[in-house]
Amino acid sequence: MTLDESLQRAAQRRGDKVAVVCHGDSITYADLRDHSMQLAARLQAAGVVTGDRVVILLPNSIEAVESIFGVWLAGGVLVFADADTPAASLAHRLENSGAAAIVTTTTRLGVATTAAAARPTNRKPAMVLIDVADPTDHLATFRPQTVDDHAPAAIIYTSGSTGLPKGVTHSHHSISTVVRAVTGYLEHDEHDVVLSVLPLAFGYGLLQLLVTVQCGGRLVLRRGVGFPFDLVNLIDSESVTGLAAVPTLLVMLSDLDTDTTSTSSTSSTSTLRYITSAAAALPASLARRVCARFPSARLFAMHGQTECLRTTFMPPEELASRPTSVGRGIDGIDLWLEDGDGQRLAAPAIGELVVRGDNVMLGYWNDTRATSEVVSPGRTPHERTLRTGDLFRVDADGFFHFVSRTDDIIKTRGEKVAPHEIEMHLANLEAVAEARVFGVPDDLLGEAVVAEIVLREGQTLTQAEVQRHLRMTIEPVKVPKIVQFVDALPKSTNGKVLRRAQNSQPAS
Amino acid sequence: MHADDLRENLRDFIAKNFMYTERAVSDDTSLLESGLIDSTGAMELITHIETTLGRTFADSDLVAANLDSIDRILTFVGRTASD
Repeated sequence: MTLDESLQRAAQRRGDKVAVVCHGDSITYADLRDHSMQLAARLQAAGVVTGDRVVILLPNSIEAVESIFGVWLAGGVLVFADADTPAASLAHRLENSGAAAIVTTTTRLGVATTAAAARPTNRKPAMVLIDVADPTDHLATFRPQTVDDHAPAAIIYTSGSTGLPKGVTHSHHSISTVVRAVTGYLEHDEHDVVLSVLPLAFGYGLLQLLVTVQCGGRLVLRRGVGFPFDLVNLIDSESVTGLAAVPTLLVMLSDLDTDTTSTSSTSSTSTLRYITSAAAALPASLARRVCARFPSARLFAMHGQTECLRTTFMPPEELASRPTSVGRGIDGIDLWLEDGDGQRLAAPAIGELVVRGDNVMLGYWNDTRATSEVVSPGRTPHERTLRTGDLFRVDADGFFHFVSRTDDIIKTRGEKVAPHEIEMHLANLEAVAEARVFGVPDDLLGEAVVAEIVLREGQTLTQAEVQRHLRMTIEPVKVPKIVQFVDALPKSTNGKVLRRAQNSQPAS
Repeated sequence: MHADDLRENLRDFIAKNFMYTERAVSDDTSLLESGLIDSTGAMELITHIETTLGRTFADSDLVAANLDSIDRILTFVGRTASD
C-alpha cells in the first residue's frame, strides 16, 4: 500500500471529520484529499512524472500536509526542506536529488530561486506557489499513478560524520512498516488527537501525520514550540490525547507550573493519555518530572534514527525499574549489538546497534558508497540491515540502553549536527585561522554546540558576527550557541585537531 | 522602568540577539511568525524581561498573546504592574 492510500480511505470513511488543525486553520479529510489531488494535478501539469523528486519548502501548515499527499498522488518522491533552510543548503538538496519541482510560498520564492540558480545542471525545477491560486483547473487532466510500494517515497536529509548532508531514502513500504508498529504500541485509534510541534521535514514529525491519518484521528500541528504555556493551553482546548516530544520540549513543559496567580485560566491537561520522547536521550530525572507534571499520560521513551525511523520503544510500566532504557525492538525487526570487528555480541554487552528489518531505508540518495558503508541486504528482498553508529548497552533481559554515538555527531534539540560541516563554514571566514566544533552537556538542549576559533594575526571577530555569518549559510539549529576565541586548539601528535579533548588555551 | 525605556531596551535586545539578516522589525511584528525567535529564543526573551524588570511572571502568563511582539509585551507588562 502506498502512503496516500490511507488518506483516500480516511476521506471515504470520515470525510467530514477535521483531520488537521494548525494555528487556527483546519481541514476535513474530504477537503484534504481534494486539495491534495488538485496539487497533484498541478504538479503533473508542471511536468512532474512518476519517480520525480519534488522539494517541499514549507513550514508546518495545512498546505504542507496537502503537498505531502499531493506529491505522492502525482507519483513523486518527497524531498523535505525545512522552511528556514538557507539557499546554500537548499541548493545541495536540489542538486543531490535532481528535483523536478519545488512547492513553496511567495515569501520563500527568493530563496528557492537563488538555490535553483546555483545548480550546475541544466534542468531547472518548476516552481509551484501553493499560496497563489492557479486559475486553471488541472483536475480534469489528473492522471492517477500506480506506484510500487517498494519504490522511493521520501528523501529526508540528515547530517553524517563526513561530507554534506545525505538523503535518507525511504520507500512507501519502509515507512508503512514503522507507521503500523507505532500505531500498535501506542494503541492509536480514530479518537486520538496528536499534538506535534516537530517539523514535518523530520522523520519523527512526518510519522505523527502518517500515524494520525492511518487511524483517522486528528493532528494538531504547530510551527515550533513558541511560548511553552501556549502548548499546555492547546492540549486543553483541542482535547489532545497524544504529545510527540523531544527531551528539550519536555524540559520546558515539566518546568511549568499551573499556579492560580495567573491572569488567564489554569490548565489541567487531563485528556493527555500518552507522551512520546525520541531523538535524544531522556534523562531519568526528567522522565520522573514529566510523569509528575502530566499524571494522566503514559510516557514512552523511544529510539530511532532517520535511516530506520524507529528501532525501540519502552513500555511505560517498565520505565521506573529501568530508567536509562529505551526498551526493546518494535514489532517485526531484529536488533543486536556488534563489536568493532562486526562480531555479534551476546547480552549483556556494549556495542554498536545493528537493525535488521523492513523499516531500514533503501539507502542514501545518489550515494552508493555511503550507503554500502552502513546498509547491507537482509534475509528477504525487502529487508535490509543497518549499522546505526549508536553505541548501546543491552542488559541481561534484552533491554537496550543508549551509551553514545560512535562518531562525533552532536545531538542538540533532538537534531543531528555534524561538527565538520560547521567547521567548514567557519573556515570560509577570512578572520578565522582554524576552528573546531563540539558539543557540551546542556540541561535544555541535551548538548549545546560550541565553536572554538583561533583568529588570524591582527583580526577581530565577535560571537554575534560568527553566529550571523552561519545563520545565512546553515540551518539555525546548527549555529553554535557558544563561540569562544582561543590561542590554540588541542591537536594529536600528527597535527590533527582533536574534537573530544576539551582543553584549549583561552585567548590571552 | 518607564514604558519608552522598556521599548528601547527590547528593540535593542531583539536586534542584538535575534537579528541575523537586514530586515525591519516593527513593534507589532510577530516574533514567532517572522521566525525571529524559536522556542529557546522565547525562553531567552522571557528571562531578559524578568531580569530587566526585576519581576517574575506566572508561567501561565507566558503565552504568545502576551509576549509575541514588542507592543504586546508593553501592554502585558503595563497591565500586570498594577496587579
